[in-house]
Amino acid sequence: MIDRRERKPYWMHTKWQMFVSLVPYLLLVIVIPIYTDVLNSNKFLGYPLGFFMAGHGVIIIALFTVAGFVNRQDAVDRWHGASEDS
Amino acid sequence: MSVTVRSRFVNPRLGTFFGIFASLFAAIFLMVLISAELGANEAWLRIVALIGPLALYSAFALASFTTEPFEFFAAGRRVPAVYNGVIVAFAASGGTAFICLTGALFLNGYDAWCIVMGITSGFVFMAMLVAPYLRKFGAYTVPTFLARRLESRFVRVLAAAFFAVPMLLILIAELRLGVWVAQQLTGAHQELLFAIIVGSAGLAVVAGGMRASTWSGTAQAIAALIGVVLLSGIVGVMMTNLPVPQLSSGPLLRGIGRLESDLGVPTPQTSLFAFEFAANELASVTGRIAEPFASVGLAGFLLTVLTLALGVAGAPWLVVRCTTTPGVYEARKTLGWAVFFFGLLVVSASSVAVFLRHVFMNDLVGRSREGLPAWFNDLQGIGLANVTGSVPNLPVNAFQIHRDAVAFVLPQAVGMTEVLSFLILAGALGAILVAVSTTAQALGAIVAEDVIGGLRWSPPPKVVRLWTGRIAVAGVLLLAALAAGLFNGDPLALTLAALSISAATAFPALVMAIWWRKCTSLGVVAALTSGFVLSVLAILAMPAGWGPVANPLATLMAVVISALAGLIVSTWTPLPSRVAVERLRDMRIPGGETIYDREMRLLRLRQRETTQPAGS
Repeated sequence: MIDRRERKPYWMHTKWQMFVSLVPYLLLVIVIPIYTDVLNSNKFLGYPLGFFMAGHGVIIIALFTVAGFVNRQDAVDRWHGASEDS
Repeated sequence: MSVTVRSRFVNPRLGTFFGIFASLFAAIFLMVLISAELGANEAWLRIVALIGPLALYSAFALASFTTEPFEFFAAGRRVPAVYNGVIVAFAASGGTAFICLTGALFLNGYDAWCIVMGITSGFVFMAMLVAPYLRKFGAYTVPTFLARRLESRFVRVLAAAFFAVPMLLILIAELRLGVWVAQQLTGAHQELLFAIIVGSAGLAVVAGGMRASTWSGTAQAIAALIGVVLLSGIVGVMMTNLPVPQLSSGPLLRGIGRLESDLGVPTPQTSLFAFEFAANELASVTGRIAEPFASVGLAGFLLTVLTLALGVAGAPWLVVRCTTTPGVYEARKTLGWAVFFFGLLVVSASSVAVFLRHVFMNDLVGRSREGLPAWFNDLQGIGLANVTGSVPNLPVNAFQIHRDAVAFVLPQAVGMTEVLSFLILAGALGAILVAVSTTAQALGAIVAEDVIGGLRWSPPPKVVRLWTGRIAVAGVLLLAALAAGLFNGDPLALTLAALSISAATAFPALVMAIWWRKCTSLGVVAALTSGFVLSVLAILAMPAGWGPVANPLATLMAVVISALAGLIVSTWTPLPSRVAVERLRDMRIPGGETIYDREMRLLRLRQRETTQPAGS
C-alpha cells in the first residue's frame, strides 16, 4: 500500500507520464494530415506515404503510444508503491 | 504460480470456448458453401447464414445467465483485457465503421481516414485520461461515478438524462443498419428482422446483463473479424498473391492512382471547413483515392478527428466497459487491445475498398453501357448501383454505387461465390449486435441505477435491483426499436452526431471530475448543461442531413465552452468536502479495494447491524 507521503509525488509523476505520452501523439495526429501531399510523393510498402500514415501509420503509432504508456505507468505505480500487487 | 490481483477469477477456459465458437462459425459457412455448390435452395442458405450465428450468440448469452447484481452490472470484474478490448473496439465501431466506413473509403478515399484517426485517438485519450480512474472507482454507470465523486444526486439524474440522448442515437443508428444488412442477407420483411435483431440483443442483456453482453459480444466480434479478415485475405491472395491484404494492397493503390491520372479523374480541393461525406444512398466517386481533401477540408478533417477522439474517450457506453476488468492495469491494457482490434478491422476494410476500387477502375470506367460486367448489372437490378450517360467511354462520375453496399459486393465483383457475401454480412451483423447490446446494457443500467434509483444513495435489495435492471434494459431496447422504425436517418451521420454530443457533454465533465481536485458539483452541472445544449443546438442548427459534422468547429466550440463553464463555476462555488477530496485521492491510486465495492460492502454491514442488534 502506498505511503501517505508518497501520494503527492506519485500524482505529479502520473501527470507528467500522461503529458509526455499524449502530447507527441497529438502532435503527430495533427501534423500527418497537414503534410499528406508532401508525404504522398514518397512510397512505403507500395502505398503513397501520406495515405499510409493517415490510416495504418496512426494505428501503429497509437498502439505503441498506449503500450508504452501502460508499461511506463506500471513502472511509476511500482516505484511509488501504488501498484495493485504491492 | 502466484495469484495476483491482475489474474484472479479469470476463467482459464475462455480461449477454449471461443476457439469452439470460431470453429462452429466457420463450419456453418463451410456447410452453406458446400450446400450452395450442390445446388441447395439459396433462400434457405441465406436464412441459415442469418440464424446460425444468432443461435450461437444466444447460446453464449443463455450460458451467462446471472442472478447477481455484481455480475449483471459489472460482469463480476473478471473480464481479461484482450476480451474487453475486442468488445470496446467493436462497440465503438459497430456496423458503421464496418459497413459505412468501407463505403466512405471507396467513395471518398483518403478523407474517410478522419473517422479512423478520430476513433483510434479516442482510445488513446481514454487509456490515459479516463479508464484507469473509472476502474478504480468501480461505479456501474458514469452518472453514478459523477454523483458519488461530487456527492450530488442532482448531478446523477442530470447526467443520466443527458447521456441517454447519444446512447439512443447510437442504438437507432445500429438497429437501422442491422435491419438493412439483414435485409440484404435474407430479403425478409423489415418488421420481422427488427424483431429478430432486438430479440437477439435483448436475450443477451436481459438474461445476463453486462456478463452476457461481454461473452456473447466477444463471440459476435470474433464473427465480425472472421468475416472481414477472411474475405479480404482470400481476395488479397487472388489479387496480390499475398494473404495479408492489410499490407499488400499498396501496389494496387498506386496502380489505381496511375489509372486515375491516365483517365483524367479530377482532383477537386474543397473549402477548408467542408465535410461532405457520401450518405447512405447512391453516390459517385468524388476524387482520386489517395489524394486528400476532395470532400473534407483540412480544418474539417482535423476538427473531426479531435471531436471524435473526445467523443469516444468520454462515451458513457464505452468507458463503463473498463470497470469490468480485474484491475486498473487491465483497464489500461484494454485500450491497447481496442486499438489493435479496431485497427485490424479498419485496415482490412480499407483493403476491401481498395480491391473494389481496382475492379471499378479496370472493369467499369471507360466501358460502354452494353459492355458492363454482369455483377454491376445485378447490382443495378436491386437498386444498389446506377450508371448515367450513354457515351461509349463512360467516365468515373457516370457510375454510382450505394455507400453501404461496397463492403459486400467485392466477392461478386471478383467472380467469387456469393456465399462470401453472406459471410461478410453475417460478420457485419455481429459487429452491429456488439454495439447494440453494449449500448443497451449501459443505457439500461443508467435508467435502473440513476433514474429509477437515482435519488437514494443505498441501492435497493438484490432481487429488486436485478429485476429493475432487466426491465430497464428491455424497455430501452424496445424504445430504441420503436424510434429506429420511425426515424429515417443515415446511420453514419447519427453515430457521428452521438459522438459529438458525447464529446461536448461527457468528456469535459469526466476529465474535470478526475483530474481537478477543486471541481465542484455545480461546476459539473454547468459543464454538462452547456455542453449538451450547445452540441444539440449545433446539430439542430445545421442543415438537415449531415448534422454537426457539417461544421465540426461548432461541436469543438461546444467542448471548449463546456470546459470553461465547468472551470468558472467550480472556481466560484465552495470547495468540495474533505470526504470527497479523500475519495478522489483514493481513486488516483491503482492499489487497494475498488471504491464502489468497498462502499457497498460497508453499506451491507451497516444494514446487517441495524437489522441484527448487538448481542442478539
